Amino acid sequence: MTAALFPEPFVRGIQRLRIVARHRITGDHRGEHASQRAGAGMDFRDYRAYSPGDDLRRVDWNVYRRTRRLMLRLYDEPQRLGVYVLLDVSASMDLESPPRVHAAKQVAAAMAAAAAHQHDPVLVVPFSNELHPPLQLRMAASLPRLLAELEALGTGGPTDLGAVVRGFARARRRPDLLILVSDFFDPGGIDPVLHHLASVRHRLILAQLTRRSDRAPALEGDLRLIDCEDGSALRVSISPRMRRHYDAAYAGFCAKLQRFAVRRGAPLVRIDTDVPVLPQLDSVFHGGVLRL
Amino acid sequence: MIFTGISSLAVIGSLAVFGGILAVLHLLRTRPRPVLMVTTLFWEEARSATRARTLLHQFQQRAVLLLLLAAAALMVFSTSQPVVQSATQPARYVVLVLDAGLSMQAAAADAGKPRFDEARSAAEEVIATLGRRDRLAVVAVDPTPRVIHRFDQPRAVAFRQLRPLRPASQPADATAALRLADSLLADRASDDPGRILWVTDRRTTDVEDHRIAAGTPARLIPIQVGESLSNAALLAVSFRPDEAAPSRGRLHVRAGWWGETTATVRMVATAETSGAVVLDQEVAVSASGAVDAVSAPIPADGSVVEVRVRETEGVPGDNAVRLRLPNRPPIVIAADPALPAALRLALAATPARVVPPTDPAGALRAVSTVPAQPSPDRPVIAVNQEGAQMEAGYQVKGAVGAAAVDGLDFEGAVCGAGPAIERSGDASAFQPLLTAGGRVVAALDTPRGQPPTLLLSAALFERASTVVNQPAFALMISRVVRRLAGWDETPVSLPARRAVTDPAWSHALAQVSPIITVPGDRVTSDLRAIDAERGEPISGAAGSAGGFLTLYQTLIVLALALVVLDAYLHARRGMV
Repeated sequence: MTAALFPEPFVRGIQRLRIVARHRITGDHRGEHASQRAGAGMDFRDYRAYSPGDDLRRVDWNVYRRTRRLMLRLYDEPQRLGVYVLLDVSASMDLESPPRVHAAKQVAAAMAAAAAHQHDPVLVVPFSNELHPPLQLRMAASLPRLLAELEALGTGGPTDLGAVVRGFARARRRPDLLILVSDFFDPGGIDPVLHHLASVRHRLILAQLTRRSDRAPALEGDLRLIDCEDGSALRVSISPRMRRHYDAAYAGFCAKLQRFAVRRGAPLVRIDTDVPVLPQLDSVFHGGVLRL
Repeated sequence: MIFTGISSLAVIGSLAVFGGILAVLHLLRTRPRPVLMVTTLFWEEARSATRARTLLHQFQQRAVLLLLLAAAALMVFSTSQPVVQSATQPARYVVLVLDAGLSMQAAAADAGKPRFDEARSAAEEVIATLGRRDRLAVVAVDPTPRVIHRFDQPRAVAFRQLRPLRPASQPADATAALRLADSLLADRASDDPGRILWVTDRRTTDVEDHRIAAGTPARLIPIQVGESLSNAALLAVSFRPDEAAPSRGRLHVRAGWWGETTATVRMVATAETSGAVVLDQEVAVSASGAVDAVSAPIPADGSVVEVRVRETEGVPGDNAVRLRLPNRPPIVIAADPALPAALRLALAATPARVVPPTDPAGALRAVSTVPAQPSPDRPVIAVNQEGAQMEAGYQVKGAVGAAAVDGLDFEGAVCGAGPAIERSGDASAFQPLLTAGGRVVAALDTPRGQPPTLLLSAALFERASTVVNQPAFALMISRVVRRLAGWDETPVSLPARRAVTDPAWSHALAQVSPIITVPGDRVTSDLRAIDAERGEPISGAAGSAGGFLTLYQTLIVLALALVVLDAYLHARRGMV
């Protein structure tokens, strides 16, 4: 069953992905990302004046001979980056054919695999209108187990992206990496979601799940549109004029998301759920590396 | 507005039914298709942006429904034939006099229908064009005048009263009809003298004469229908047999005259085979009247007789009918001296002549016993002496389905003791006539290849028998004898169209078949218009209302236009 959603070529593809933090990250554990703190790493970074209590083994005696000043050598200490993949599993993700949740799971799997190969701890947290029990990936060797758990993960419940982000932000004080995999279709609109995302201290990667029917819905005539999550109905008579307004509304939605991502410096990857996911990830994983 | 086609209640009911159906269909048509969506977020925004157009669209949908309802209402109104008139126009009292006399039976030369149909249509049109406040009474003259619609009755009733009317067999009494119409107008309280609309085939001058004779002061407006005719024609020809000697009878001929003055009509009947003239009479007849002539007794020998109306001075006529007389040859019965007296008496009451048994050729044979070898060409009336014996006292009844005893009453008749009649041959050729105690006591046996035989049980003539005293017994014997003699007594039927030698008659079928008229049956000839002078018809309120379309046609056109508009708006809705 895993092969249906995560075929072997896909698994091989995601295993070569890496997530690398370009800027200093304040982490509590040793990992492979550059840290903002000087530590006992292998890469020289800078000097600083000796203070009583410092480790004398770090004193650069050559500098002392030249300057008669006690100076410590500072090195970069690799840190571990906590990666959280928030995976949208609300009911709307399972409506269409093929369901968006398939692509979402593949994106989540790719992100988790990229983080795991950097020895970063990964938590895949499904959500709908609240956070569901997470799926943990401690090491790359555990990837198959994660894929199986993702395969078996069900969908359901309404979407409340704003509440989920807000709740996540309150619970996770350490600024780690937050990867949000969703279509971002919140009943309250995109503005509250972006407002809550703005308050998140984590580094962000946004993976927006789209498809052609979002951009150009094949609807016409008198229709009663029913929201699949809350059952609310909207009666419309689709005319060319209304279609133009729809296009403008959807374009505005995408533009807001784009502007937010630019302001936050967060990579935004738009995944078309109608085409294979892995090639689309190349837009952010250049040469297999996503540099933050 | 008043509704002259259907009642107001029917109009309201029709509107309610059609309106309800249209509303339901409209709702079904506009019911949107449900579609399950991932999100309706963007459509909500789009709809808000197009809110004004949505309202316009909803208005258009309601307008479409109103258009459909308006179209349905117009269709209903067009069926109900409304009549609209200005309320300021004063009410008028109108008496419609409809001529349903003899002359209205005349058929138009090209249509073949009686002119009375044209008169009725003209009357209906007059009624339909009357104003809402006008008061209508209708007098039918068929041939005496009678009121069939009063002033206080609804207009729709007048139409229903006109439909069953038929032209009479006598000329219409126009003077009495105008007097009656005048009396109807005199009974109301109004300064308006009223109007009498007279639908007739009479000429204007004749109309005026009748008005003067009636002394009516009301304004008289003749509405002439049909062409003016002035010729004579046959109306009916029949052969009526004499009661005492049914093998003979007389021709009864009726002819009509459509002229304007008293004239003389000549009727001639000629036997085609012998050329003998059996009828040649000239009879005076009044204008638009009918006369009868009766011929001398003639034998009912199955020959063809031609009856013709011949032209006389001032009376054109070349109308003719060919009539085949019934075939009833004389009946002779050679009676056995040993016949029971009651049977001999019954035979004497038949049209036959009873003779001694000298075996004349062609005569029936009445024998006291069933002959051992009957003659193949001579029917037999035989008294049956052999068979299973019955006791006396059984009630005699007529057999079901036997035409010879149909309608005859044998109540109280009992049979004597004697042999029953038993079938010996083909069951289909054996027809019981009388039964007693479940046994056949009289039957008609017609075996193939043999002469028919009337079998009568000897029990009928026993002392204890009372059936021979019943008049029904004598009638049964008479019927059977006539049948055995081959008399033509089945009723003859006349085709719907009578065959005449008049060249104006256009029905080819009628030209080739011999026609026999049934006594009393009315036949109308196709009278040719010979008189070239015709008076100009004085048109009254009848006739078309003027304009390109009538009100009903206009309503229908409007309704169709609304339906087309509805279809256009429905199709265009997606382009808004």
